[in-house]
Amino acid sequence: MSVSDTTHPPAGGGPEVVLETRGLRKVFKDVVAVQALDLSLRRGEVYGFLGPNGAGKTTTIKMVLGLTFPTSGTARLQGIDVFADPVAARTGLGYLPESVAFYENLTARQTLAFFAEAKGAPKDSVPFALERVGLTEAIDKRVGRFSRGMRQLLGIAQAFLGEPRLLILDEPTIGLDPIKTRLVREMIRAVNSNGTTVFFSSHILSEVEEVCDRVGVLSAGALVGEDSPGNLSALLDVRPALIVSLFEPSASARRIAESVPGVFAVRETDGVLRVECPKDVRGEVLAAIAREGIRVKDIHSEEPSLEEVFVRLTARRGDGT
Amino acid sequence: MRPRGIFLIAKKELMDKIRNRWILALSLLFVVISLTLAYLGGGQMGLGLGFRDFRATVPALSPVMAVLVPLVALILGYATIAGEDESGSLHLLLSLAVTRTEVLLGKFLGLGAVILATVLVGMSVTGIVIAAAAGTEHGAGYLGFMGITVLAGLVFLSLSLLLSSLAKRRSTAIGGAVFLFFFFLVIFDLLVLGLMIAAGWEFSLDPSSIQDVPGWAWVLLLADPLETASLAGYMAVGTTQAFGYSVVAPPFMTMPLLVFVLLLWMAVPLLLSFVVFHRRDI
Repeated sequence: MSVSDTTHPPAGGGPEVVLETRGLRKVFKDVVAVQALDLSLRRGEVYGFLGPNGAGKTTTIKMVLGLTFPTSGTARLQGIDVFADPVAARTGLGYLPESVAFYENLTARQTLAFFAEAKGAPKDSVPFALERVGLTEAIDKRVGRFSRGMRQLLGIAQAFLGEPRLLILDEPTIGLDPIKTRLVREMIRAVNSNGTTVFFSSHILSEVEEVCDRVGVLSAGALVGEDSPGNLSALLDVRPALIVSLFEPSASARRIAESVPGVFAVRETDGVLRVECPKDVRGEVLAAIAREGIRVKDIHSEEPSLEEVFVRLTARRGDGT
Repeated sequence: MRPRGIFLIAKKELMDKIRNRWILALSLLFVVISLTLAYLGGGQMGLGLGFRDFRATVPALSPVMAVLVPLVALILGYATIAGEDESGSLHLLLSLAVTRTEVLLGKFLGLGAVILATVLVGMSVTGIVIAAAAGTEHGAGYLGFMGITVLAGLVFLSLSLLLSSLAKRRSTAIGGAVFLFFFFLVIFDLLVLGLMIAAGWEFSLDPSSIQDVPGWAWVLLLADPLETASLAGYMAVGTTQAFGYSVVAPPFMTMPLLVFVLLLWMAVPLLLSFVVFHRRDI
C-alpha cells in the first residue's frame, strides 16, 4: 500500500497559525537553553527546525508541548495556550520524541490501540498504521523485543495515527536505514498534502532541505535564521558555482572567466577554477574558456546547500558543528 | 479532569503490568507464601502444623501484609514517573490530550488494581483452603484483613508515586523506596521502642506476654503506616498486636480510626505527588 493512501478524512481546518511561541525562554540553573524565541507556523506548511546538538531544539519542543515549563514567554498550539488548556491545545496532535520509548510488555498492536483510543482514531486504523511503516510482521510482538529502528518506526506510526492536524517530529529518522528514511519523508509529504502542518526537528540538513517549505535555524538557544531554504541561501550570499578543472594551470583562465557578464567571483587553485555564477551563465563561461584554447579536463557544478547556510548561520554564534 | 482520560491510562497500566512476568511471578509467590505461612503458622504458636481457623491464621499472614504487599507496591510505583521520564515514555503519554492529574490518577488506579488483583488472588486461594480445612468461623474478619492488606498496598503505592514524582532519576527513586520500606519496617519501631524504654517502660522478652504500652506510643504508632495496618489487620479478627507484642489497645484505638489514618496515609502522599508532578519539567 502506498504511503499516500489514507483511510481518514483530510486533516485541515482550524486557526491559520497552528504553533506559536512568543518570547519563549528557558534557563536551567545558570544555562540559558532557549532565549526569547518567537516562532510562528502557518497551517499546512512543513517547517524544518535545524540546529546543532545542544542548540535547544528539544527543549523548545518540550515547552511547545507543555512538558517543560518556560522560564518566561508563551507557547500556543492551534491558538490555545498549552499550559492553560493542555487538553484542547494537544487535541489533534501527533508527536514523535527524540528518544522514543514505549511500554515494554505491550505488543505493537496493544501499544497503538492505546494511542488510537487516546487520539480518538478508529481501532481498525492500527493494522494500517503498522503496515505503513513495515511492522505488520511484528504486530503481536512485545515492544520490549523491538530493535532501536523498529521502536523508531513504531513511534512514527504512533505519531501519524488519527490524521493529526499538527505533527511535531523530533529527529524522526534517527536509527533508520536509508529506505525507511525515504519512507518517512514520503509519509511527511503525504500527510502534508492532506493538510497536516509539520514541525520537523533535525540535524540532517539534506532531509530538511528536501521536505521543508520553511526552515528555522537555532543556535545556542536563539533563532539565527528563518526563511525558505532558497531564500536563506540568497540572504547569506551562498551562490551556485561552476567548477572547471584544467589540464594545466592557466594564468589567463581566471581573467577570462571574470570577464564574462553575470559572474560574481572566480577563484583559481592548482588548475581548478571555481566560478560563482548563476546557472544560465555557466555555458558562456565554458565557451569563453574554450575560445582561448584552454583545455578543460572536467566540469561540475556546486549548488548552494542548506548545509552551507547552516554552517554560516551557526558559525556566526560560534557553535556550529 | 475527565473520567475517560483516567480510565484510559489506568487500563494501559493494568495491561502493561499484567503482562509483566515479574508481577506474575510475584502473584504466584504471594499465593505460595500465604499458603505456607497459613500452614506453618500454627506451629509457631505451639498448635502444631496444619491449617487453623481464620482467627489463628491472621497472625501468621501478618508478614504478607506488612512486608510483601508494601514491597510489591513500592516496586510497582517507584519508576512510574522518574523511570518513565528517564526512558521517554512519559513524554509520549503527556503529549496526548490528557492532563497531568488524569495521568497520575490513572496510574494510581491502574497500579492499585494490580495490587487489588494480587491480594485477592493470593488471599482468596488461602482463604478457600482454610475454609475447607478449618471452617468459616471469623471469615468476615479475614475479609476485613484482606481489605486492610489492600489498603496497606495502596498507602505504599501512594508513597512510591510521591517518591517517583520527586526523584529526577529512577535510581534515586528506588533508593528512596528501599529506605522508606526499611524505615517503616524496622527503624521506626526501634525508635519508638527506644523512646518507650528511655521513658521507663518495662517489657518482657516473651512476645506472647501481654504488654502495657503507654498512651503516647499508641499515637506515635499512627505515624507508621505498617504498624497501623498491622494493628488494624489483627483487630479485624478480634486480636491486638503492636510492636511485635500482644497488647491491650486503649479505647480510642478503634478500627474506624485506624482505617481513617490509613486513608490519610494514602491520600496525603497522593495529593503531594499531584502538586510535585504538576510542577515537574519533563
